[in-house]
Amino acid sequence: MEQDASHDTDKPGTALMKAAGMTSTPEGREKARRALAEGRARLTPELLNSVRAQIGLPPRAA
Amino acid sequence: MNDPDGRRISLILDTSAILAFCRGSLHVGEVLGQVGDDDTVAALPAACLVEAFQSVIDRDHLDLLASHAAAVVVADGPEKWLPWAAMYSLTGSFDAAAAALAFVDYDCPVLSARPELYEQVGGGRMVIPVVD
Repeated sequence: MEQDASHDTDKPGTALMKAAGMTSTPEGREKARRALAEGRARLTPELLNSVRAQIGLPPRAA
Repeated sequence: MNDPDGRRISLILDTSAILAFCRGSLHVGEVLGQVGDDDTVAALPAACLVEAFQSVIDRDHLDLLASHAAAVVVADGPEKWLPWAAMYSLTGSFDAAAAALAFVDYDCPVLSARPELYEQVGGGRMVIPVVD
């Protein structure tokens, strides 16, 4: 897997995709952005502390 | 939460997501691309990398991911053995338990092509499913 000098100016995410032979598209990036945003929105303090309780850990301090 | 270099961890990849990346999943690539370009990093639990190593066909992609600046390998210390064991009881899988424990450690979603593994962990709500 080769990386040429032109990749040096890429941000790490873009550089990783290029090194893996993948080409980003606006639609693909938007889909990824939406998935990340929706995933993060589900992570409430209540969810985290509920899972901590499931495995015997104390709640995280606010 | 941050990795040892102070970079914010914003996503965890479990074994199935790591393998999907190695198979050329564009969805996983784009999600990692977004994470990296947001100046954050994706966490790769060591247990998930070990499991992926057993069945991956393209080891070059695995090596690329594990050593890239957009990702960081993480592992809990021995003091976490009991929560890890409890998580194993919930997921039924040693490496999925490591990924779910990383969610607890870093408070960020788990990217997985096997969301059913996490159904007993907070209803599986911390999972971002791989969609290809």
